[in-house]
Amino acid sequence: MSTLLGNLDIGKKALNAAQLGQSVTGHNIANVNTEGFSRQAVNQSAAKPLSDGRGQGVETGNIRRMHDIFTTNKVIEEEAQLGHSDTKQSTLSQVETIFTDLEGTRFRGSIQAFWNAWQSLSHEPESVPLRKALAQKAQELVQSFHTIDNKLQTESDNITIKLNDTLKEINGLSSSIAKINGQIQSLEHRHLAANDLRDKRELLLQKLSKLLHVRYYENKRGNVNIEMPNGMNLVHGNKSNKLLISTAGKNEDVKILLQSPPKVVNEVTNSIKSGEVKALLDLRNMDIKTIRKHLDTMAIKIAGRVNFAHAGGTGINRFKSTETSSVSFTKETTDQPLPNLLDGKFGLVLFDPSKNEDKTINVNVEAGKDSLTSIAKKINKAAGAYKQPTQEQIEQARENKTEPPLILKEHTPLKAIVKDGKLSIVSGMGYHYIHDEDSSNLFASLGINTFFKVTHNSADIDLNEDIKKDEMNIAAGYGLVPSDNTIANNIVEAKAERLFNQGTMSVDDFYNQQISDIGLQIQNAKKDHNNHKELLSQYKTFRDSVAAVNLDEEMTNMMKYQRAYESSAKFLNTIDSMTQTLIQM
Amino acid sequence: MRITEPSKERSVKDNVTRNSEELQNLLSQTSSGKRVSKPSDDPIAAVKIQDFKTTIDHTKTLEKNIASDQVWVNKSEDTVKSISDLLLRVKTLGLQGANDAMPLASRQSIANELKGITENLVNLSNTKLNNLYMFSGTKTFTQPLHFNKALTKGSFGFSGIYLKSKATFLPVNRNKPLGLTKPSELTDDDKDKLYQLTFTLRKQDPITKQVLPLTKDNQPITVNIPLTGNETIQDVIDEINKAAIKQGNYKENEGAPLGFDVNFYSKLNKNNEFAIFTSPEWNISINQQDPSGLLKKLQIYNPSTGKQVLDNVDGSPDQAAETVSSEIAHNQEIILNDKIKATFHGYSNEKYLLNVLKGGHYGEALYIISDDGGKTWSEPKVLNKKIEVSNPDGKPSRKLTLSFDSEEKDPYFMEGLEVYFKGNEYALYEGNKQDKSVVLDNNVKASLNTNAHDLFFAGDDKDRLNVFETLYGLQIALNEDDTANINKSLNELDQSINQILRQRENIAKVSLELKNSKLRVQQDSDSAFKGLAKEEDLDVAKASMEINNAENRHQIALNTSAKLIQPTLLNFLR
Repeated sequence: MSTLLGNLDIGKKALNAAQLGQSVTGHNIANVNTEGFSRQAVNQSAAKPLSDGRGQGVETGNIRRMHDIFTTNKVIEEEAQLGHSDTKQSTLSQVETIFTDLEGTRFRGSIQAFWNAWQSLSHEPESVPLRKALAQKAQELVQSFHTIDNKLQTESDNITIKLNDTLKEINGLSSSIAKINGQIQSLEHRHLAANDLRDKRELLLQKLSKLLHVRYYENKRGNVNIEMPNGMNLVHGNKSNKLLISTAGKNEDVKILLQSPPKVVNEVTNSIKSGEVKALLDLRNMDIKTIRKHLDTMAIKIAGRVNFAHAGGTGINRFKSTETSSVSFTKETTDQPLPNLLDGKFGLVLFDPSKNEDKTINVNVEAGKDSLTSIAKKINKAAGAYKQPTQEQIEQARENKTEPPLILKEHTPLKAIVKDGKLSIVSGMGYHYIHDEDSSNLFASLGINTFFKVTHNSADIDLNEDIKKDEMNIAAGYGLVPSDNTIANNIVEAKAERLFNQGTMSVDDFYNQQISDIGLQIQNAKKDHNNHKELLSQYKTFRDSVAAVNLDEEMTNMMKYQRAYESSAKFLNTIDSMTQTLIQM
Repeated sequence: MRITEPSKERSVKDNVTRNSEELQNLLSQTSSGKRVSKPSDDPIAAVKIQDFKTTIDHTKTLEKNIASDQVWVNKSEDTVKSISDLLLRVKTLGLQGANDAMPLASRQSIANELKGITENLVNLSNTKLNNLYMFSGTKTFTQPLHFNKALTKGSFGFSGIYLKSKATFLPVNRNKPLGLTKPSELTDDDKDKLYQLTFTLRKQDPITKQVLPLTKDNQPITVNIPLTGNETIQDVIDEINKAAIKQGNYKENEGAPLGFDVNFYSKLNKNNEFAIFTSPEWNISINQQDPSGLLKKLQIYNPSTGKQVLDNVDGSPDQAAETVSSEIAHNQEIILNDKIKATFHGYSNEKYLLNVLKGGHYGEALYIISDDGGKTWSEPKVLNKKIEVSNPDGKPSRKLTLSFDSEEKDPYFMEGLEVYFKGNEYALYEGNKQDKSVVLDNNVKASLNTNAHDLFFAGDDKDRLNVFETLYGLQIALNEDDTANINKSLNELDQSINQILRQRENIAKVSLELKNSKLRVQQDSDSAFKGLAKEEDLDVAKASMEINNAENRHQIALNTSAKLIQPTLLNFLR
């Protein structure tokens, strides 16, 4: 009896089911372009039958989320690899344009132009215009070093900024994930479906993974906890921790810190293994640093080698009356043995222009013993610049077992003084002087009569002030002999000398190694990038084959539910008219 | 497998992008014509390209360098050829002159021509290129050969001393004690006052010899010289000169030719008379009180008047003092190659500066010393090895420093210094013997220069062959009609000619070396260009085929994409 009314119920349930199906289909269609959307499907099952086996219609269960966890994990994993290789390849390419010469800064070209200028000078060592040209080429070389150093520094700074931004983005993502964790937990606690929130969380996780490779797992309460590769928590439940970047100076490494409240800060730099952050870190802390180190080595060795050859020479008719070292020492180090000295001697030749006499002062140098002050003393003694001590002073010194005091004469042809940590040689009484050969490397290491200033890195390589002021001071040979080209020939040989890598590589070899290194790295990064891109694409397709929306399918579903709705409505209509008939009996 | 909207759309995007990327790469390659524009395009090729570019740079410069070297060597070759031709002419002339049938006049005219040829030789060896001397070794700012042709006359002078053109010194017993008498009324305590020589110096007009009036600035200067009475004349002279120096008129004055100015000094003059000389600005008068008879013994002449201060008590006639000119003898003409003796007084441990006032190149200045008044003289010593050419415009030249090592602490008075200049008949080589060697391709070295020493002087020993000596000898032999010496000179000449020929061979070798090196460098440059093109340039044919293919693929992909994404069920439902 109640069967007739019972049918109404069946009809009503059918209508509901169709409506629900339709709205789910509509939801799917609406979200066809939503990133990370997993399509939903309605679980329909036959309702629990009556005790006599008659069906009660359809029962709509829950709304299922079509989702494959295996492929999703694969996608997330691959995003990290892709982010890493993509960033690596693009940032290295930027560095490549700075350092290479094929169409770029003409770095190698300016080195070769420098050697060429010395070579020309060796064929015409007395030439004035060739000296001017050489000074100019040297200036261009110095400029190239500075430019590259600056560009690399800029690149390094840019990467630091980018890292900062990326970390901010990561922090935003992890705090959003934490919030969603809370929301999902409260919904599912009440046995409600949190499908869309889960989609959203997955999308955020995917984005996070691209930036930073993390470990994650879902716990029983439906929270996704995210850990750094070393196990420290990034997101735990509905709380997230921040990642920070430490400030670093020009040549220092950048560090990534994890701040877990209340105030604990841990360094996590070395635990980061993949993702964009890793690529940026590597570039700043390793690759650019290595390139800069190599550049510095080139500057130091080239300048040092040229200086070693140049330090004992003479320019064209250029006498010196005073010179000062370009390196300065601190109070403590003026008395310590000078580094870079060899056992040998150096000479200075004094000229008195009115008498046309010359007098050579020779000073012996002991490596590892002589300090700045002891060298100055030796020069002064050899030049006779100290006053004769009086008898009393000698007596007193003998008593005290010390040396009698050394006082400089007021007027002396040559004297050496140590002032402000620098060594100065000054001639007087109308005398002037030239340098003689220096087998002790003293003047080269102090930056006196050298071509370049003493160079410590590629930012401070520069021409010696004396040469900047007057190119005639460029020495091609010794002893003021105008066509002596010994020094120029020596420097020409330096081009092919194996100065680098413990005596196995010349300048050209060394530079070639740098560019082929970068080129190969970039090629590999590109290959990697393409591989990962293909893989990611594949995994996404696999994931989409389960989770994404196919419009044709939804169209079909739409028609399906529409028909079901129409039929159910018709059914209800029929039941209604049957009931009407019954009532009208 | 389910194909969904997102995967369709991704597929289209990725594939079309891939094709576009490929086309874009091809575009940048073809528009630049380069296959490799950065190292990541092809790292191995990038390195090779760098090396080729460096080689090209290097060879370009080297070619230029070798070209300028060739200019130098060619001119060198031409000049040496001219020199060699000149010497052959000399030989021809010499052979003519060796013929005994030649009259003296003809021989002399040949000698004359030889003179001119010698001058030419010197000029040729002083050739310059780009303002650099070619035959000076590496001292290319310094003229290689100085030839003493013009040095038959020159002059020099000293200031502060008295120059006589031909002074001779008479032996004088200046070491005999004066034997001054001690007046009876003076005690021993007054001894040092007793024998005292006192002068007064006053300024005078050098020309009129008038004593200038006394003013605040012009005060008379008194010089006291104490004597003990046991001195010899020599001692007295020493004392007076010591006083002259101690008195402070001694100034080491760099501007002064001698380096010091003394206002007075004493010596024995030509007639063995004791005289005191002053410079023209000073007037000297002598305190005439003479209880000890010192002045008498000394027979002092007043140099200003030339008269003896005191009458000679021994009765010798009053001898007129020689006109002792205390003027400074400047610019006196002297004949070189003569031993010009200049008397020069001074102290041996001081430095004396001699000023060469005018003239050409003097060769070596030698000096001989006598410290026994002219009896014996030392060996000639070289005054200063580094002779500087003085300015021909008459301005004073650099000073020559004469210094002695005296072992005695106190200065001793020394007489009898002669300074004379030995003229240089031959040429003097002022350059050095250093090679100017340059590096050519492949570390081959070449020595570019020839120096005049190698051309004209053989070897370093005393028997060295000196072309100019030979020529001079030949001229003399011709002028003196000396056939034997003519032949001797001609033999020497043969050796010189051979030497020049050897040098010519060397230069020719270097010239060939340069030429070959230049060819090799050009070849290296060519092959570098080829290699560079091979690595760097795009194979245009291959690229345009690739472009075609890529274009086709692109079009098909677009077509297929359209077919994939466009039609949906919606199109077919009512």
